[in-house]
Amino acid sequence: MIIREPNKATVNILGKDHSGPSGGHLACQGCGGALSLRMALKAIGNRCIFVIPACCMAVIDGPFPVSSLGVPLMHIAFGATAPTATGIKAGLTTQGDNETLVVAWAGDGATFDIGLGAVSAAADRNDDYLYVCYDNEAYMNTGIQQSGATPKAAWTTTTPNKKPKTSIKKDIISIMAAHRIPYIATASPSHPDDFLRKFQKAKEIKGFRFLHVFAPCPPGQRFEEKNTVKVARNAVESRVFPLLEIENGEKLTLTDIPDPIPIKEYLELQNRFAHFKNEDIEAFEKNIEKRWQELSEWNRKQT
Amino acid sequence: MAIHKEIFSDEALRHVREGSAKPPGQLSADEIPPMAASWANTEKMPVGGWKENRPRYLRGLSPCLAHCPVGNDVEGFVSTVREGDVESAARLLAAETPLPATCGRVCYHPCESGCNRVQLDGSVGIRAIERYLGDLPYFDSANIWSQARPATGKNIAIAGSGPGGLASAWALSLLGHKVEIFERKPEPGGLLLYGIPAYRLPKDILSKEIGRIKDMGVRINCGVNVGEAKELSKLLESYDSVFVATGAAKSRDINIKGDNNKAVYSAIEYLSEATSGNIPETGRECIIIGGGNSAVDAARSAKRSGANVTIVYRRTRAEMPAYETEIDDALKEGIQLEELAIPLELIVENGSLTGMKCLKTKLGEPDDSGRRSPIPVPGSDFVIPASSMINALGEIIDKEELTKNSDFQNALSELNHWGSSNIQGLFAGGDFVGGDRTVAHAIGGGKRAAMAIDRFLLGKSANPLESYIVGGGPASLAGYLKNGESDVLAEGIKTIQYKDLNPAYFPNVEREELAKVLDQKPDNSFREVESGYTPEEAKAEANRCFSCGRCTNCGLCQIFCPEGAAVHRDPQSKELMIFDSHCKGCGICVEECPRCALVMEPVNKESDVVKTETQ
Repeated sequence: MIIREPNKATVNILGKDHSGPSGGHLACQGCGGALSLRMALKAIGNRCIFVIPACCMAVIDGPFPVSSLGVPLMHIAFGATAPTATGIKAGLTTQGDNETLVVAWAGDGATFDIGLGAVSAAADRNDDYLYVCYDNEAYMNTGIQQSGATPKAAWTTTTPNKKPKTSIKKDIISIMAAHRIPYIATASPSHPDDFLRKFQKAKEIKGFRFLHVFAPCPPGQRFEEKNTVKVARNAVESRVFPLLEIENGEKLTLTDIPDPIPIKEYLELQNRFAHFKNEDIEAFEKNIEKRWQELSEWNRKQT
Repeated sequence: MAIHKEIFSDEALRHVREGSAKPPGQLSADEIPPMAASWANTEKMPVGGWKENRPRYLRGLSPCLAHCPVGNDVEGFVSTVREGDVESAARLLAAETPLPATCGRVCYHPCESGCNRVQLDGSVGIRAIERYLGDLPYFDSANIWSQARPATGKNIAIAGSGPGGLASAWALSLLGHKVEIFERKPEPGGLLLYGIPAYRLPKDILSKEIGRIKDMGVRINCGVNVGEAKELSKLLESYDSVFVATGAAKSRDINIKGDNNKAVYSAIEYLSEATSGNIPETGRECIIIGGGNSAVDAARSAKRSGANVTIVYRRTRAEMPAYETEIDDALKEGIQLEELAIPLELIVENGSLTGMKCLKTKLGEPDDSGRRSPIPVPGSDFVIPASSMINALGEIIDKEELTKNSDFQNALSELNHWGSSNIQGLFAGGDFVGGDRTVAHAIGGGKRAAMAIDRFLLGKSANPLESYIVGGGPASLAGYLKNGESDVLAEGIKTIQYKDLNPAYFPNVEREELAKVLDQKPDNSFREVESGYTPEEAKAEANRCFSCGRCTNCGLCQIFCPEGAAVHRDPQSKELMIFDSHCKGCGICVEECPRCALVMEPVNKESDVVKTETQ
């Protein structure tokens, strides 16, 4: 069952509380990434160090000498997020600080593609930090180039409609699950209760934790700024972005089983799908449905 | 945060903390930190200047408010029940109506027809919530009201103690005037007592409601017929104002052969007698003519006295003006409905009624009322057995009975919306003035007249009365008492429609219906048919309210603002506000607000200089 209005505790932590990143940052209007970061930081609190590679968030945080985040933040080269976080964690441990949480916060480009080898290595070592991939499904910061997270046939500047992307979105969750890390979860800012719970849970777990956050991007995914939360919600409700968690790479739980809305309601909000004909929608739906069946099967087997 | 002095020189720190006027290329060696690090936050960045539209918290009007003829703050009391504060809810209700337990039982609830939830899964059970509140002990005494004003020394006479007269008396008392009511019947209540059967409105409930108004200092003189014992002109001489609310109490004649038989009654007469405890004799077969509420009331009353009852109506059920639920209940109680039939004559044998000859009709073109008109079918006459007949063709207003003075009669025929006539100090309301004849409309009319009388008496040149009208519908007494300082009276307030809401936040929840006992045995029992909500049921039902247009502090705008600019209540003014210097105008807050309590407005670049504010 879904309770659509967030509960009081969620409102107090994610809404009423004034901590979290300061306003005045440089995110575009209606940025799903800035929204996710804001919610995440409120959920995990200020005792943390962030590592952010070249991505939207590196710009959003603010130009020198200002920073929106309000917690220590290390800017780092594109592929180096995971090893840098590993190093900072090692440094803290050496100093006897076991309290401070290290958060690697990287986009889909730095996670699915450029940094994947390093992420895999850190997961393999089960390094003790929280890795968050905020996923806007393309290299938005540099001009909407396709990434491994771009859905099949979606428009980007490098996959124009005449030459669409031929592969489906990379299944990062299964890749991470294959490392048998203690905690993997997906989260969407449109579902605040679920979002808060997963970040708080991830904070308490030891070892490599991987959170995959859906972060709609109005300019890159081509939709009206006001619809950011609606796009995220419809992604969940149409099962395009299933909300789940996986413990130890094995035990999968679907944390929200929506009564699915038509996939059209998700696609039609975004102009990157505007060229979709009925057969494209059906093909898209087929992939989503297949994935959902796999996840449901996995979920059923474990519980 | 500890800063390592050995890494950062004082100059470098000053630079990174406060920013430097010098471009980096001109910094001296000790001014340049070995590693670029930012220590200031982004709060002073004027990103608010990016926007072309800005959100603003703006109260919209819930349609239930505009639809309530009484002027109740429906959304207000329902949402207060939802928040669990029933006492405040009762006070909100009491601010606009003197008769909540009555309306909570008999009102035809136009608020529910206006409710936006109709378009999702059925309206909120507003009437039942009102009944729940009206039955709470807060309404046991007149203490629920506090005098809004000290005594003014003005005296007002009211003719008639039905809902219009009572509401007007109550409102005028709150305003500090002395009120005296004249009622021609032996007991007060008018139509509420003599027209509505006790199975819908128990007598003890009504007498509690009237008792509370008496306790405010209103004198009710029963058995005094204004028009006979007291001429209107005389009343006007001895009182500062007179309010006429004598209702529509004369039956329309049926004019068929045999209608002078002793077993032929008018609905008014029948219901009135039934209320007094001596139900008129109807015999085995009772026929009711008409399709309005008094027809159904009379039918269900006759059924309770043991008769087989048939309602004869010239159109079909769909065209019956009686309330849908009442017709449903009547049919469930075993009352027959003879559609498409008009009475021709009553068959009388040896002085007693044995049957009624009727003619079938068929439906033709719509008439002035928009309903398809019945056309008699020649030669289709048939007879139904009848031992008695109740004429419920409707009631008409009898101005002649009230006054023989034609000036007064004319004045009472030309009233404005507030019940003012062209004779100084003479006002009228309720069923007497025509229009919709419902308890709620009568209460609303009584309240409007009270405001008009107050303004007339005190000669206030304050706000025009029209400024107290809520959403083009009823007038708000609470707003009048506060000189119009009420959210819902804001100029240009927009009535919220379903399309303005965000349905994502409202899952389907089934409406909580009131329990009914409809299998009444013919044992003369006028026991109440419906039972009220339990506190849990009331709260569950109130939970279904969308609170259209009003911020309920749900916090979604705060959670979903990527800038952290959607902020809440200003500590000083308690106003809802947004940090303009951080808001980039994305509009997520407006789009996501479940209840349309925010609007998007274009930024006027010339006059709006974005100020830098800090949190």
